[in-house]
Amino acid sequence: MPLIYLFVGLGFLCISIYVVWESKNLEYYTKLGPGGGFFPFWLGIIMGGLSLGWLLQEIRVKDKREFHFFPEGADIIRIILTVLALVGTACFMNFLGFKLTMFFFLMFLIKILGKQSLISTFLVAFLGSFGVYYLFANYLDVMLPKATIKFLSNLGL
Amino acid sequence: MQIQNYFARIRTLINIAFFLIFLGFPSISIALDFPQKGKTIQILVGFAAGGSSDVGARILASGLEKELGTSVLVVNKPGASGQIAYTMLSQAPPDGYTIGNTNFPSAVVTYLDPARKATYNRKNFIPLALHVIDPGLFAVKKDSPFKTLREVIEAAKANPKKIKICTTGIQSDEAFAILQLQKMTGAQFAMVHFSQGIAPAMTAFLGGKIDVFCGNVGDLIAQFKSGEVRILGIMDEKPSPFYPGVKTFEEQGYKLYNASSRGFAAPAGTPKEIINILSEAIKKVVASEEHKKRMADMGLTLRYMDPIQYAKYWDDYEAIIKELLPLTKE
Amino acid sequence: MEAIHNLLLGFSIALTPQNILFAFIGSVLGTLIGVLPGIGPVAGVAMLIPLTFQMTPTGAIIMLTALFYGTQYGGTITSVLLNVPGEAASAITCIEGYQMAKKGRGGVALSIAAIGSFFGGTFATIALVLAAGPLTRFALEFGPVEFFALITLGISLLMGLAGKSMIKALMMGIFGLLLAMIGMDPVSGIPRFTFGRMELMDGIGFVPVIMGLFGLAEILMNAEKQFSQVFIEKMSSLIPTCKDFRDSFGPILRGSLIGTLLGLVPGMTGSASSFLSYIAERKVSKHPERFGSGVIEGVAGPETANNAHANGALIPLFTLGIPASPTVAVIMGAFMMHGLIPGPFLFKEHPEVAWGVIASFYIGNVILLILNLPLVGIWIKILKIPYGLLFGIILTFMVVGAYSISNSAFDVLIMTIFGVIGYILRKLDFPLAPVVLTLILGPLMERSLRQSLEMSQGDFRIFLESPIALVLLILASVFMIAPTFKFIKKKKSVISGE
Repeated sequence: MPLIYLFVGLGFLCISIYVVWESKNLEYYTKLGPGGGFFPFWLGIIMGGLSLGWLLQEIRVKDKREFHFFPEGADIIRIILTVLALVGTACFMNFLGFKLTMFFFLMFLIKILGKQSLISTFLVAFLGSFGVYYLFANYLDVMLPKATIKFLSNLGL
Repeated sequence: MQIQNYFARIRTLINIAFFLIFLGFPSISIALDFPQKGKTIQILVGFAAGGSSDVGARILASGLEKELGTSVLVVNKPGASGQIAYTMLSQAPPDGYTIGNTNFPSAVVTYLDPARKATYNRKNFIPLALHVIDPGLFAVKKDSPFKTLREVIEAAKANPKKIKICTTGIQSDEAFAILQLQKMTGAQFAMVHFSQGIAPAMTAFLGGKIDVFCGNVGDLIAQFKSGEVRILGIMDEKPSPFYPGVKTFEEQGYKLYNASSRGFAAPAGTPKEIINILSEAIKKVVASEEHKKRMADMGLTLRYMDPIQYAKYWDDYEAIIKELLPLTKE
Repeated sequence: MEAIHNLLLGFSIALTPQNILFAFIGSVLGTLIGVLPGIGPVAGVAMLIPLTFQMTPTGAIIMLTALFYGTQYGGTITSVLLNVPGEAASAITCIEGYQMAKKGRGGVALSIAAIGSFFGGTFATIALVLAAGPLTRFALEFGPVEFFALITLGISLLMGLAGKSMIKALMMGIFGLLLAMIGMDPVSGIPRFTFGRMELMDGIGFVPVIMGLFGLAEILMNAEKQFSQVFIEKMSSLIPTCKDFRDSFGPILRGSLIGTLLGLVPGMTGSASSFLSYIAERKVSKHPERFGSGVIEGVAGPETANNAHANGALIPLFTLGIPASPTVAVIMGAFMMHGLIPGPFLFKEHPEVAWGVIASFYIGNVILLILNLPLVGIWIKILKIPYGLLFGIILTFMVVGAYSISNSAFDVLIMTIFGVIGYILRKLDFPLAPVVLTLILGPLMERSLRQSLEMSQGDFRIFLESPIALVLLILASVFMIAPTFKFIKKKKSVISGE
């Protein structure tokens, strides 16, 4: 059984345990009916049972094939970098402002991961950050985040 | 030599004088400068765009823009019954460029309820103005056996927990109103909470699943007009212009005032001069005919209070909620 | 019939050049807003209300309602072509529509979606004109008790989604239910599983989750292959074949019915309607195992139900003055801002407004059909952009969309997390449909259960006292028990056959 199966199965099991544990802090049953802890408790137990059942099922599978589950090398790095870039964007948006964050985000993604030319990268990055900002602010009344660092907000970002 | 000393001393004196002047004037010069043209004032609203809190704030914002001469923008930060927006407001720089919408009961409940772990309380806000109140009401369908408020309350006393009444949530203004009434009269209702909003409550009510409708003045305007409902009472000091002929709770012997209200506040620490400028501007806008008409069109009951009156209203309201909050946990 | 007279009056008003223009603008804007993920119909309608201040009441409302159901059309485009749900109700279309696009049948999917949507919307409008009264009375029968039974029936159909692995489908279903429990519980108002974060107090936000599970997971899957061209299969003709039409006929009829009826029930969301249509199609189909690989029934049904729901939700507004959904509430606000009070009174006092608006629903649906069919060709061309560039554009949309739901970067984070989760689950062949189902229906179920028990003060017999609820609950039990029997029989035959 590939390692990832074990990992995911245990992951679900951990979630079940956490849920059952937390539901102890909630009311199980109130005067009027099931309380906040009732459903999570039972669902957690069922989920736990199912994860174990699934793991057992997979252990029994006699598959001699080599599982290359996740892509290797450059491919997996690309995926990880994309995810990290997104996380970074979410975290930094409120500090650096939408325009700057998205600009760097897009430059990074398209140039380095997408391997496109500098010109098209720059164009898309510019439109996707500054262009989108102005579109949303002026026409759609949606305020995308502004920079909160003094030095940057003075620049109008 | 003596003349040079003399000049040196005068120069020093002048330097000191300028220094003191610049130290002393900043607060005044900032206030005189407020609001600077080109700088946006933002109003934080803790509820979704299009909802009644949001609409009221937008109507005020458009009036303030003309009054203050700079752009005034509503920024929606919905979530956690307004707690996200209130938290942002309490942490915003107290320079007058960020103010926020304060809804009761949510603004008060979010910091009084320990389960919510709010990072702010009453002291973090300076009340600016009360804008809208939406008084509570009781209503029944036109074919209901109950003809008056008294009949409903007596029935609830005689059959505890059998008369079904709706609210918009465990800690909603309806829930607090009903709890107060129960304390006052000994009646006991079966509260059914519709936390998704007033629309499902109205449907259940019109479908006969709920015996008594508890809501706000703004909710039943259409149904009153078509004659489908009988409004039993308004929880306010005076009758509502939207429901002519309907008595208040007080007039029928139950002194109950309850309303969900919307006002505005600034973060603590905002200079007094700026507070004055803002509250004067709000006062002027609210008094204008155009503003009054737009609010009335939306079914919103305008009731203005200045910062001092609003502060008292806030403190009184907080005291009432503090008492009732433990009852909601039962 | 009086209705016909009034309708003709309505058409005479709706067909003025000015009002047609408003319907057109509303439809276009609605489609664009629907394409932008995240900015759902509510925000769209709310943002445009100030613009309508200057217009006549009839014109303003025509534009807003056109915008409202226009967003349903727009949401389909990104779902089919990019696997990014434009808004909650389009989530289901991702499942089948995107698979079709990968096979080169994207154009067909979009066309059928447009035609089905037109049919559904028109059906609901006809229902409004001919049967508003009885339909509304039917809707009023659905209190919390009946609602709970209906939702339980929906969840019971989860068993039918099992597909290859029952255990995996169940795990996903329960996963969705657990996610649905995040937030303040409906019973005591205490935060549950929120890790102390305010943003989770209202629950985890359906749209960021599905944007992650579907849209972002898809991008991550494509990232494996160096972002080479994804849509290599040549796009076949945009026009559906005769077989496609025949296959879609039933789903469209059923979807119209489901959407209109469920749209009437306040509290029922468009996503619930389209999902229940999907499940119904799967149940009715002779080849349920094909679902998941790109079957046209899985697009025709839900898309029709979607639009029928949107139009159906307007019925209670006109007959009772009750807004059946947040978007309709905003439209109601628009009515009131112009001094009009929606409800039966509107028909007496301002028949020209009421019927003018209703007539414009027809026109709006026609405009949207005419608008969207040719546009399909244009949208397809977008897919020709090199994926290395396209994915950046898609991600921009997704980030902005996720942010603009509640003006919060937290939602972007949620989307990212679920993108990773979705990627892993897909690699392990876990079905995503059950998660979506339970995530949509879970909160509705817990809340209506609680409300029912508040009504009866803890007495469970209240469910037996309502005939509608009883019927639905019995059906639900049948749907839950029958597949279990089949499963056990299968296991037995496997064991005895070994």
